[in-house]
Amino acid sequence: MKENGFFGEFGGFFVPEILIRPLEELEEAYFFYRNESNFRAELARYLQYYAGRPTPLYYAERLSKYLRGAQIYLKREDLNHTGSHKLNNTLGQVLLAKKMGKKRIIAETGAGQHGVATATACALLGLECKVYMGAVDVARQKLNVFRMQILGAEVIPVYAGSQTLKDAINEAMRDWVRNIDTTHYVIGSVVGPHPYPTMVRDFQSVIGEEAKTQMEREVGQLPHYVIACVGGGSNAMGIFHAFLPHPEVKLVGVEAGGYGLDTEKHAASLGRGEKGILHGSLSYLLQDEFGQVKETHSVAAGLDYPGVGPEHSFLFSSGRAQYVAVTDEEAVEAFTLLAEQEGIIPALESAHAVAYAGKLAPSLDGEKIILLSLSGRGDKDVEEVMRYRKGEEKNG
Amino acid sequence: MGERLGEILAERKEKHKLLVPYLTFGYPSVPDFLDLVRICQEEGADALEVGIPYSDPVADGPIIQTTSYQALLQGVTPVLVRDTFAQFSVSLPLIAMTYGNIVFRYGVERFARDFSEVGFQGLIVADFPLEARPFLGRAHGLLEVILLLAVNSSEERIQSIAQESEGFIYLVSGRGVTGAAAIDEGAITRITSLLRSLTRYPVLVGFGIHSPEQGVRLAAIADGIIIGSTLLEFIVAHHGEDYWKTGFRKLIAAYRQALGV
Repeated sequence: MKENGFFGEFGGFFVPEILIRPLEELEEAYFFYRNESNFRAELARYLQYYAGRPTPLYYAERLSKYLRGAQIYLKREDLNHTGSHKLNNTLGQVLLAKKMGKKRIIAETGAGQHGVATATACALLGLECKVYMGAVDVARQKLNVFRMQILGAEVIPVYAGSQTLKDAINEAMRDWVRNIDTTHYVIGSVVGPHPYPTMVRDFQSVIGEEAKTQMEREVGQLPHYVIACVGGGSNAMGIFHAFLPHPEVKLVGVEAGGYGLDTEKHAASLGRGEKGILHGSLSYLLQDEFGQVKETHSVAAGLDYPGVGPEHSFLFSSGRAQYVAVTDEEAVEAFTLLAEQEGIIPALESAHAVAYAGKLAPSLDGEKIILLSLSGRGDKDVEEVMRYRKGEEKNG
Repeated sequence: MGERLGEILAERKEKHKLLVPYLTFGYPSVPDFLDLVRICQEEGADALEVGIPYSDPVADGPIIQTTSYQALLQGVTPVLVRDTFAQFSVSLPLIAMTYGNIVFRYGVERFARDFSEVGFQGLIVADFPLEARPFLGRAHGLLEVILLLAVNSSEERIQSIAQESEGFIYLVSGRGVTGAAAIDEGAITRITSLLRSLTRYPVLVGFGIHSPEQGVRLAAIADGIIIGSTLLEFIVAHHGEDYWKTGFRKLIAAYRQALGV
């Protein structure tokens, strides 16, 4: 490998030896193509004419008035083709895989957004696609399973362990070990061994670059706060990255608080985790005293993951970014709030960021500006929210 | 500490091809597991890999995933492994096989000290490639750290791994996970002959070996074999039946017979 893939003490590549060569080839190809003008132009063309970028920066006036405090701007990744930021990364990686001569793409998915985005990029570029998805997630995100199948992908339910995102990644890695010569593994977040955390962040950094330019042009200043939800953390790294050189801009990642951080049912890797190694990198991790990875919980399948991208662990430990958590209940309330105030149904993942903005904004004066990454749309979650409310009625 | 693992195996390989079984600690139960260890010893295994289960074993196929998961459900922890071997003496050299987070969480130095005290001589970390070897630096002098080589490792890496690996060289037989690798005899031959000039330690081939005949063919190229999934597959299928341990003994004996006694 040309680089060791560490962000401070976090990251690296802790993988079986058989994966070293494919990771080296991936690093080499990525380092070459990221600076190659034809590749960049081709990707830019897809992002503009196919994905619909740049996504708008939208001033949420009614929400801001309702919360009576800071002014809230939404970076509308929900308007990206396929309904989330995930396509930014999959277009980049699938295009790269095609340049590398790979015929077959595999991916993992939690909420199904990354799976849909991967299946979409594969349909667009003519590659075979197989998506691993935890059986629990298959059940709670049926709509996305059908979408992937319509797009020509094969969806494989994973019954191991907690049957969620972490187990889907395990299974995708096992597939990759068997099929390294023909296959590229499209990891959907800023997790995994080097070069994935860097590469995925780079493909997602278009979110922050656009938002920064839009803030400067349309609002005339940079935001005081940037807020994004964090599971693995790809939309957050994507929007944070452009603001890292501006220490006056506060960066806030919102983790899944589930039933509350003092319960066992949450997915706040930074809030409650400790350093550990999972899926090829050293980062914060929810684990027991012996190093067994814990089962997590979140109403948002896309945040239901015991680890977090190593660069987030670095930003957390250096203090450059702050990480907070909101509960399932707060996220579901924010889901409704944004729908009622702005006519936008957010993904439950993104609703975590909305929920925290709802707490932060009233504590700030009206001159302050919050930039919020609205990472995805919530159509996929309507059923889950209905289920959640029914459960509440029963318990309440 | 007595004779080093590397010395023991180098000596034994002059006599016969090496046989190193892998068993998941605590599967199907701790007493059963200890009986199986005894059988391996009595039937002339050259060393034993003791799998310390991890919740997310990405290098393992369905069989070892199942046995690891069951062992974890029954409360197996690294501390239980240590405490059990503190009470149970074996003459067979023991090698701990696990994943990085287990050792990292336990503390590398503490792990190496505790496990060498209860009779372990070697350590294999399935998800630690050469570049992660420095993380195990504090095991030095306590446990011999065995590195894995793959059929797609570059010549440069083969040289470095041959230099860095202690005890023996673990050559993974092909592309794939434990129990299901597509065995690549051409690559095994090429890499083994390269290794001959680079190390005096034995070369053992593992992953995906399912019969004594297959074992003999691979052992003829290298110095011996590691068998795990095929043993655990037998245990998963037969444990609880009458005389299942006799069946296990026959299985080990068949491999021993095939590789030479």
